[in-house]
Amino acid sequence: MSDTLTLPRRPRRLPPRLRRNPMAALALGLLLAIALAAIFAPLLTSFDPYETALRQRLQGPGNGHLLGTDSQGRDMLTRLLYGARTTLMIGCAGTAFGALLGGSIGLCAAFYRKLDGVLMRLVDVLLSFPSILFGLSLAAILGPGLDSLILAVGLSVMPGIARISRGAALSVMTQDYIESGRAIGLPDHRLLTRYLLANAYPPILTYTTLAFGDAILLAATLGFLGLGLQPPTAELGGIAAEGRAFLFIAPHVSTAASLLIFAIVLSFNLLGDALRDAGDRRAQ
Amino acid sequence: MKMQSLPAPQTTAPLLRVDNLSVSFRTDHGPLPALQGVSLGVSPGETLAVVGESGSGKSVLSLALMNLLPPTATMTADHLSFDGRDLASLGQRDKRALRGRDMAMIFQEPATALNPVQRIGDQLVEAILLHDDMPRVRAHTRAVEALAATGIPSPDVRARAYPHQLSGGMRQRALIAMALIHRPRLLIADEPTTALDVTVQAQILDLIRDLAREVGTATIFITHDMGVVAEMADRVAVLYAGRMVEMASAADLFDSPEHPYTLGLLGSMPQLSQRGAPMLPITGTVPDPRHMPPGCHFHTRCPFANGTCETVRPQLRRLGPARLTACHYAPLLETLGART
Amino acid sequence: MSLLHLTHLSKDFRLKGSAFGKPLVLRALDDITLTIHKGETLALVGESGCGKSTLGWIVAGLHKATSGQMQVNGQTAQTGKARARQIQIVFQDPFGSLNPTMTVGALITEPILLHDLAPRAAIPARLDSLLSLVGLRPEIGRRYPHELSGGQRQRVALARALAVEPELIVCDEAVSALDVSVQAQIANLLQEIQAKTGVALLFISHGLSLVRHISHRVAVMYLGRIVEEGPTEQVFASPRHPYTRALIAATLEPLPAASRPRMKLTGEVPSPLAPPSGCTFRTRCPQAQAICATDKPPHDAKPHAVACWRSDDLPAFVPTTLTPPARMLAALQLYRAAAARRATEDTLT
Repeated sequence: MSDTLTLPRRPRRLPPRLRRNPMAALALGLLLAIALAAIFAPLLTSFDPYETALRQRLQGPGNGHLLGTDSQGRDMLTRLLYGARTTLMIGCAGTAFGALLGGSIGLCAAFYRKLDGVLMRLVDVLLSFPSILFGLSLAAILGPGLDSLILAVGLSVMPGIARISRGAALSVMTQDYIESGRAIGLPDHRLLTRYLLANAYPPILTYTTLAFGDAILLAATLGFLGLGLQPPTAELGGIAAEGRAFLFIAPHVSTAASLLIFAIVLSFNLLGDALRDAGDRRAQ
Repeated sequence: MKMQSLPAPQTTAPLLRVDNLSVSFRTDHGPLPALQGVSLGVSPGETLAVVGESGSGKSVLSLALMNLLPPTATMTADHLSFDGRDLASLGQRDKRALRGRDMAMIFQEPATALNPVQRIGDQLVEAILLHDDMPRVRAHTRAVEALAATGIPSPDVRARAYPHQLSGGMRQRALIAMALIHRPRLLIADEPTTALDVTVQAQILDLIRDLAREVGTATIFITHDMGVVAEMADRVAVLYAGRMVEMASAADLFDSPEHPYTLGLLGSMPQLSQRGAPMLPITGTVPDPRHMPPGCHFHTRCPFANGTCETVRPQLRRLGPARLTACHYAPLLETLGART
Repeated sequence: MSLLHLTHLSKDFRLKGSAFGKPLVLRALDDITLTIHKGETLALVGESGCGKSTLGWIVAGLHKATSGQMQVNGQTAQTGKARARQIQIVFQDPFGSLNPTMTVGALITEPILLHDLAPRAAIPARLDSLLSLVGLRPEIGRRYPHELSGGQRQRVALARALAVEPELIVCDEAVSALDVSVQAQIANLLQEIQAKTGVALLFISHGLSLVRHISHRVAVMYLGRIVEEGPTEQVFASPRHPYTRALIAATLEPLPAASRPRMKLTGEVPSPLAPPSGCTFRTRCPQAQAICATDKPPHDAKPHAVACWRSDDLPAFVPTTLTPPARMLAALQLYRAAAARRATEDTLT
C-alpha cells in the first residue's frame, strides 16, 4: 500500500531542470555557438582556409587577422573555424556510429539473453584496446582518411555505450510492461524500440553526451599524431600539431587550437554531468 | 484555525497519548497535509487498530509516533506523552533510547528493513548490545532465543543466514524478533502481514497477540484489512484522508458501524456480500490532499451525502462511553431509519 | 464447452548451480491437468512459490512449458500473435505493467492496430467504448499512466486486454496490490465484463475470500501441483484436502469471533529445489501417514477432485459461518440502497 508519502512520479522525460544549472546552460550555449560558427564558417570569414600567403606567415593577432596567421600565412580564425568543422564532424559521425552500434548491442544483449554472453565478450575485447592504439592500427590498416577516423572514433566509444545501454535496458526488462507488450503479441522490433529504448534512453543519452567529449578528444589526438586527415586539411588536432614547431616564436597557433579543443570537450563533459545530475534527482 | 479536539475515550491510563496531532509535508507544490487533528491513546496490553486505505495517513501516523518522519515533514501536537512523560521535553538521546528499548516498530516490507550484507544473528546481537551491556556470546544466545520465540525453524542456522537467504515470512519473523528483543512496552506494527501468505499471516498475528498478552505490550496495529482488525483489535480508529472519522471498541464497530466510510470498508469485503452479487465498494478515489473538498472530506464518495455534508465539516462526536464518529448522520440507523 | 485444456503440463526452470555442480532444476509445475470452460471464472489459489503465476504465464504464452499439451478450443495452442488474440493477461502491479511513455489511448489502441481489428477511422470510437466498458471517462485516453491511481491503471490494463476481444483473460493477482475498496470495484467490474462479453477468466490469487465470491470453479495449488479442484461452493463447503482446509482456516473474516475453529499449519513451504518425496504437503500435514512419504497421491477423476491419500479419512469439516450482527446488516442495507441510487446518477469514475 502506498501512502501519501509517495507522490505521483513524473513522466520519464528529460527535465527542464537543465535551465537551473548555469554551468550547463553556459556549456550548451558555447557548444551551440561553436557549432553554428563552424557550420556557417564561409559566411563568417572571407579568407580561404587553404590559400597560402607565405609573406604573411606566423603573424600575431591583429593586422586584419583577428587571431593571426599560421606557418603558411593562412588566417588562423578561418583555419580554426574550418578545423572545428572537421573535428566536430568526425566527433559527431563517430559518436553517432558508436551510439547506434553500442546502443543496439546493449539493447539486444538485454533483450535476447542468449546473445548476452557473445555480444558482451565482443564488447569486452574492444574495451581492452587503448583507443589510441585502436586508432593507430585502423589508420595503418585502412590508411588515414575520413572513413577510418570515423570508424576508429566510433569503435572506441562504442563499448562504453554498449555497457551502459545493456545496464539501463536490463532494469527496464524487469518491468511488467515488457511482458504486457509481449502478451498483446507485439513483434520484437517494436518491443525493442517503443518499449525498451523509449524507457531506457535517458542514461544512454547522458553517457553518449559524455562520450562525445571523448570522441572529439580522440579525433584531435589522432590528428595531432598525424594519423588524421592529412595536411592541408584543416583539423583542430592537426593545427595544434603544425603550430608545435613554432611554439616559441608563434605560440598563438597551438594555443588557439588547443583552447578550442579544450572548450569543446569541457562543454560536453559539463553538459553530460548536468544531464546525469538531473537524471539522479529524478530517480530520487 | 484551531481544530476542535476531543480527548480520546479511555478506560485505563494510556501508555501513549497524543492529542490533536497534525503532520504536513513540504513539497514543490506547497504544503501537503497528511494528518489533521488526530487524537488517540493506547493502554498496556491493548491493541489499537488504525484502519484506512492509501492516502489515509495511517503510515504517517506510525512514523510520527516513532519520531521517524522525514525532514520534509512538519509535525504539531497539543500533547504527546509516553508513560506520562512529555515526549516534546525529551532530548534526542532520551528519545532514541526510548525508541529502541520501550517503543519498537515492525514495517510492512521486511526486505528493506534489514541490512542485506549482515547476518541476521549479528543484526540482532547489535540491537541487543545497543541498549544492554553483556558479553557478545551471551547476546548471541539471546538472539537465537529471540528467533526461536518467533517460531523460526532451526533458529541457530537462520542466525547465520543473510536476509536474502530467508523467505518473506522468515524475514518478517526476524524483524519481529528484533523489534521484540527488548520486550518493548509499545509496539507499532505497520501492515506487518500485508506482503505475506495467509498461513504465514496467521502465524505472525498469533505471535504479536501472544506478546501483548504475556508482556502487556501496548500495540498499535496499522492495517487496511477489516479481517485483520476483527482478528486483532480491542479498539479501532478509522482514518480517512488524514482525519479520524470513527473510533470505537472493536465489538461496537463491527456491531454497528456508524461512519459511512467504515461501512464502505466493510461493504468491500467479499465475505459480507452475497456470492455472485456485486460487492459494495466505495466509489471514486481518495481526494487530493491539496484540494480537499469543503465540508465532510468523504462527501464526494458518500452515498448518503446531502447539502450539509458539502458545506459543514462534521466534528468528532461522542456517541457512547468509548465511541466517536465524525458524521452528521450519526447515529446512522436512528437518523436514516427515522427518515424512511 | 472447454475453452482451454492443459494435459500433463510441466515446467522446469534451470538455475545456475555452483561452478562445478550440475545445473539445478526447479520444477515449478508438475503434471498439471486442467480445463477452463467458456465464459467461466476459474480461480487458481495457493501461496507464493506454488507455481500459480508460472501457470498463468504459460497460458498467456509468456513462458514455454517443458512438457505437456495445451489446447485452445480443441486445437493445439498457437503461439505469438495468434495466441495473443485468444488469451490476454492483466498483471499484479498496476504501476509497472503499463508502458510509462505511452498515453492511455495509445496503450489501448496499440493491440487494435497491431491485430488490425478496426479500420483507422473507427478507432477513436472503439477506444471510447473500451474506456466506458471499464468505467473510465473518455478524457482519460489523453493521460499518461503516472497520472492515474492504481485502480484506474488496472482498468486501463483491463481495457488493453479486452481490446483484442480475447476468449480468456489471465488475471495474475490483478487486484492484490490495490486498496480493499478498489479491489471490490475491480472485482465487480470483472464480473460485469464477463456478463457482457462472455470472456472466461483465470483468476490467480493468494487470498481466498475474493475467490470464493467471484469464481465458478477453484483449483488449489501447492508446490507446483494441483491438490484440489472443483466447483467453488463445494470446495469451500467441504474441502477434501488438508491444505485447502488450512487455507480456509487461515482466512480472516471481517467479524470478531470469540472462538473460531483454527487448523494451523506449522513451518513453511519446502524449497521447490528439493521437494519432499511422495505427497509434497506431508511435511506440514497434520494427517500425514507412512504412505504419504512414499507415493505421490493420484488425482481422482471426480468433478470435485483431490490428490490426497487421506481425503476419505479426514475429520468432518466445520465451515466458518458468518452471521453479521443485525445492526451492521441494516446499516449495510441502507448503504447499498443509497449507493444504488447514486449509481444510477453517475456510473463513471
